[in-house]
Amino acid sequence: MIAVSHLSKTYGERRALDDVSFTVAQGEVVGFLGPNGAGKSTALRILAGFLPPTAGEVRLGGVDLFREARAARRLTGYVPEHTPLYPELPVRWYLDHMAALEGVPRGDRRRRVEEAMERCCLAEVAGTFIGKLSKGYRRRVGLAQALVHRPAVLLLDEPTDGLDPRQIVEARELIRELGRDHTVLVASHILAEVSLICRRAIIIQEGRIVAEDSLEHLGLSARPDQTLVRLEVRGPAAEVRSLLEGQTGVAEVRQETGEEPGVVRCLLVVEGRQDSLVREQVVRRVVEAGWEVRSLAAVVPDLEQAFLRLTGDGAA
Amino acid sequence: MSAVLRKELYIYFSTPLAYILAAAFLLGNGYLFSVAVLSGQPGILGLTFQDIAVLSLLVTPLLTMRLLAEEGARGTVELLLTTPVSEIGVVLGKFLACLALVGGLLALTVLYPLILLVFGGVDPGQVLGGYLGLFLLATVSVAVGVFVSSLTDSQVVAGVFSFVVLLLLWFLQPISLAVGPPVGAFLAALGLSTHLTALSQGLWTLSDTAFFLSMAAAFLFFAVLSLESRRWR
Ligand SMILES: Nc1ncnc2c1ncn2[C@@H]1O[C@H](COP(=O)(O)OP(=O)(O)OP(=O)(O)O)[C@@H](O)[C@H]1O
Ligand SMILES: [Mg+2]
Repeated sequence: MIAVSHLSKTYGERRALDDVSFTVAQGEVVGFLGPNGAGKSTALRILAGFLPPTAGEVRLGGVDLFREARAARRLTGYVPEHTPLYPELPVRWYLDHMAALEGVPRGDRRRRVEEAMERCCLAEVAGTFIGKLSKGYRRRVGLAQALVHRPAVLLLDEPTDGLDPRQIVEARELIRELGRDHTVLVASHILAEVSLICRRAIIIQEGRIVAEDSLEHLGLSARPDQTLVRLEVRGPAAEVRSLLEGQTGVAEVRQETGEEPGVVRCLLVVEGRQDSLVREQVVRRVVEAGWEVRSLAAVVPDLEQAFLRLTGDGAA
Repeated sequence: MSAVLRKELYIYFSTPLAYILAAAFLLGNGYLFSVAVLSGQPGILGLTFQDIAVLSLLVTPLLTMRLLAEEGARGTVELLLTTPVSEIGVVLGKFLACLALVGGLLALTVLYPLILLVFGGVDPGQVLGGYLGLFLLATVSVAVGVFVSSLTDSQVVAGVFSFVVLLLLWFLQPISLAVGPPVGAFLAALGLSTHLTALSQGLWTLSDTAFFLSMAAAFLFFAVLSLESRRWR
């Protein structure tokens, strides 16, 4: 549904996107994951038809985004970063306006607007001015606006940014649900979010794609039979490492760059259900060898780690 | 285009700005009109149209300044330009909405020429010509405002700058006198007030009409280019 090939974008001197290629199949919900400044918004702006790229091609369902711009723009529903809206307009009026801009025939508009409001649970605020709505409702209006012309592709830029925890949960649920009828690309810098909404992620850093796979393959959602433990030990690096590698239950040891000389920092991949026993045993052995355990912590896989690993900086 | 037009009109009428400006505009015109009548000069009608024209140049930047600058500041321009609507459609929709409003403001002033018609025995042809001139002037001032508003995200900057441009265009005629020919003749030909003289006497001329319409078209064209360039910024 989305086919991007060799897309590059430079702002003056600055390279925001560098030879980016990926595809998203129909009906997929894909996360576009990257730290601040990675180029996520730039990519979505290009896909939405706002920015022209410096080089590259984009096809949306076979329609060339640049040669048939109008037709392609009708195929996409876009929620820009921070969800810009008109505070002076009432919700229903605004959605009708957006439907008209998107070329929905007059006769269908009313129905489409009601449909979009229903999907985004906006019925009770239909007549309220957008400026009077809470942030959560505004986000929903932004989503409804993107849906109102029934686009094949939804492009969402940080859709839960700035929401409170309950609204985040609701928004994620809504987006997951939208995945049933639309091809969705969600930009985010929050790994947990992407792992809840999407099956697959495209990871981008400094304008380049560093990985593109299902979340399990990327090792981003820890497999249920594995846990990650970070251990800091004061002792000789090589020996500590070989000791740790020798422990039963420890599948892998990845040494990380430590902040202090003399302290070894490792990430242990612990296999099996009895990870607590393995932890106890590891600590005992380290102490027996005469070294100091500085810290031991269970690790929830996060984006920074994934980046370190994927870009190869993690295995020092 | 019609969707943009409808939205702009809705926003104009849902905020107090249009009503406040209408009141101020009428008040200003009423004041100037009574001063003119009390002075008892001949050619009151011409003077009245001149006053209305100058006041309309003060008021239009306040109405046009938000048109595109606000879309830029809010980020809604990104939504607008990712719908299938063309830049021309956006610019024309905004232009026509604002022109309709300014036209409405001008229509409110019809009271003063009416008074003169009843009591002063002025020529109805002159009244018609005067209003045609004011409306043509409005097409230019709104077009200038739309263009300037597309250049910046700041409404204040847009308002002040279009005001300056309009005043400059208005005073080109007196300026041209100071400069002297041949440059002066050229400046005078571009002056807004130059082309209003005949119309405010009730003389319709094709050349003046064409002047206003082509000025307006030129600024709208610049506005379209400037809006397109937003994609490159
Ligand atoms: N209009 C612009 N002009 C110049 N540079 C820009 C512009 N927009 C973005 N950039 C630069 O391009 C790079 C990518 O920006 P982009 O907004 O796409 O990142 P992002 O991944 O969306 O980041 P964030 O998580 O902060 O939203 C950044 O370094 C940014 O400074
Ligand atoms: Mg961004």
